[in-house]
Amino acid sequence: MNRVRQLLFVSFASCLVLCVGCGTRSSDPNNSESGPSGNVQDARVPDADMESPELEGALVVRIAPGDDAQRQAQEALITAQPGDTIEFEAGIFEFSGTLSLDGIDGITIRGKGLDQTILNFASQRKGTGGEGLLVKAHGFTIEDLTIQNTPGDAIKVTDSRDVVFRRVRTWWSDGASQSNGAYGIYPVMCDNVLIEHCVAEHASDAGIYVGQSRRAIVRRNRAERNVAGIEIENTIGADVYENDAIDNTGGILVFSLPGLQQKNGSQCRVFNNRLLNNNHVNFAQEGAMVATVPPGTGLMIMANDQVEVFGNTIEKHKTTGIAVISFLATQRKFEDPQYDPFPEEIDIHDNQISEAGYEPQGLFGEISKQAGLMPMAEMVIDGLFNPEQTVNGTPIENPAIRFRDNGEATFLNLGLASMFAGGSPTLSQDIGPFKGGYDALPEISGQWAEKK
Amino acid sequence: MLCRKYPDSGPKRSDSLHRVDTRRFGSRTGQRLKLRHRMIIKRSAQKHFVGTCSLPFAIIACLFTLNAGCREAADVESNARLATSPSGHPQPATADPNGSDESRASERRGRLRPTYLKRLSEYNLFAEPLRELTPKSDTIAYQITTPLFSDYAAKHRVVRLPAGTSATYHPRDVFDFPIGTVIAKTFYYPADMRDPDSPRDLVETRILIHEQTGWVGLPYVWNDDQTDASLSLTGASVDVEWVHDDGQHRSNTHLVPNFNDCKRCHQNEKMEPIGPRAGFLNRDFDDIGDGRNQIDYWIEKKILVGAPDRSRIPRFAVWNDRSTGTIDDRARAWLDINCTLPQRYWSSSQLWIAPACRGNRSVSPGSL
Repeated sequence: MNRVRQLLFVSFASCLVLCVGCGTRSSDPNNSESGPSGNVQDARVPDADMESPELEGALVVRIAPGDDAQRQAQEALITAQPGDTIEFEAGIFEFSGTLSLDGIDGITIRGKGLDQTILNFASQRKGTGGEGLLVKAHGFTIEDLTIQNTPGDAIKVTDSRDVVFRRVRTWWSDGASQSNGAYGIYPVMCDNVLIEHCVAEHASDAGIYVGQSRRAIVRRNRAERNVAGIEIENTIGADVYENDAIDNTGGILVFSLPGLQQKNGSQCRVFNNRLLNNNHVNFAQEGAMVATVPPGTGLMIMANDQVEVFGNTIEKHKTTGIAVISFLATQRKFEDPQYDPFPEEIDIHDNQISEAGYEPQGLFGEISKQAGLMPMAEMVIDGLFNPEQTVNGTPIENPAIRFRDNGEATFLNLGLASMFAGGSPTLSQDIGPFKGGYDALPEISGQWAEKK
Repeated sequence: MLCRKYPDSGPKRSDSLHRVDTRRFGSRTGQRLKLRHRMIIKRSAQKHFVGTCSLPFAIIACLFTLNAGCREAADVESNARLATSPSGHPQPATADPNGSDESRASERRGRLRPTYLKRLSEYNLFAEPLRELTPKSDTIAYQITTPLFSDYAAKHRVVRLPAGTSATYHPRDVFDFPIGTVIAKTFYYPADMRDPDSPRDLVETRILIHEQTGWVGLPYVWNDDQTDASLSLTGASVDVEWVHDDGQHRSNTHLVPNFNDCKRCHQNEKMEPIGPRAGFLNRDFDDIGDGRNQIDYWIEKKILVGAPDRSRIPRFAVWNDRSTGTIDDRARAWLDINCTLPQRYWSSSQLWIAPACRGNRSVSPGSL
């Protein structure tokens, strides 16, 4: 038997902290059950659950680039104690496997700057997970570094509370490609997420994705040349503002999908973003949800309830500026009795939408072209509505989707209901029945979002 | 500290020296070269220690000095924990007067976390020589019907319950093992898979311990001399070679999981073993001889209680043995063990996918 061993003798004592899940979830982000820090309306209550980074004795463990960096970094992540910081020096780090943090709260991972500290996972081995960084720990902060060229997702954080991504770049340096990892910044099933001043590029699914989470703030980021620039999915309570989404297939997506653990996304505000030229060819892997997004989509809302869209600048989209559709428009079956496939209480106001619909793609484009409606429209709805319109079981008043003060933006109701009934779609450019608005949704805030 | 480089995909200064170390273990030349190999690695590790990590270690070293007085208390706590590990007879790790890594890490705030046993031999699961993997009298070897595929590695499994205790039968879930149970799974490659008596290269032993706080998974990597395995919280990668059952020469880089990786497969709602369930254990164990069924044997050894009549105990199919079940049965058994898809989660129309295997998305609609 021949072999070469390259193995690691680690003699660090380990700390065992069994992973703690997200706790009970209420259906209303304003009635948080996961700790005062997440309370939308009271941002001043101290967070008793999270150990502060100023914890006495907290250590800064510094990792320098080099052959041993993988071992040192993983060791630091396993043996860390709550409140510790793991700091990567400037330089390019070559990693061959996923780095993981599991069950140790209050850890900060920090670099020397988004352009200074590069964690490169291009030579990651098969069988090591595929992610660059995999985290399941409360009070986690990552800032000031780049994670690039991961075979899978760049940074995946699951089942964690109080998670901050700040000045982080995730990207694939060879450009947009189907072989790139799916997600860049990827918190899922988390409570209290802040993503700010980050850059996400070339993800084959979503550059910045928040899924099945509660209370997320996504602000002042730049997402370029991803399939989806920013995606909020099955999330309750999200503020998405002052972001730039440029040259993606779809700029911002707010989706609610069936069959997931957290049902029925709601309460999402998308405001003061700049959505520009999101006409990139769709390079998602076949079968991925976002493979269905037509190139040239500025903002798409699918089946999510309570979405307020305002103050956005949406320019140059060949399919449409804003699309609001039901899951039924995908013509996919689903088995999820708790799932509501219709978007309701959608309030779209005070947006600047220009140059949209000039070369519409996908099914909607086909319908529009066949009807001789070119360009299609700056705002499109599928015209599919729940006969029993409800939000969380409470009946609502018609219309479920409302528009106001969007300047000269054009509108099209694709009228798919009649098409699904066997006839032709009943297209209508009459926005009249959909004029109106809703009360403003509450701001998402909390102490976790104020920590620096 | 013997510290080998990782990752091994990056530039390697002593690359040629690594390659020298390819020989049959057991040969005298091999032993000598191995020693040389290890010394060189050790030197390079020390160099690294001084070079790139001096600052953090200096900080840790300072803390160690300040906290030297806490050592005694720490050992008491360590003892308390080890007392819950039964029949292990291990001595608690004493603080290294030279300030070893574990003492620095654990004492840096004067608070000691549980200290895991550093060597496989300290568990006292196997008789000497350890490499024979001969279970001691209180330890029971077992097999399962359809094992996890691990890049052709062969596996050897043992379980030890605290003296006088027993696990409680469950028809679907993992048996309810008492606190203090230790499960050890050793991964090895026979030199020639066609010859069961050919020398085997022991690579790693994964330990699952049932602690008061739940199950803990720990990876131990065998040394080159095959005399013992050492705890390696950050995992390892080990190049292995063997002659396959088709006579072809094969090689692989075997990845030993790190402490966190264990949870990828073993932790769904909570960390727990995967294999020791009724359906997987309900088979004859080759080494017991006399064709005895493992569950019968466990009952006889009084380490399992609450089992019903054998006719009511489920039996999972052997994935590659048509006589053991339909294609559906065999596929389910395979998915169950390979993807931690406990069959209790399955419905007729939908697979329940383990977190480690799923993408958190469930549908793929057609084009819009």
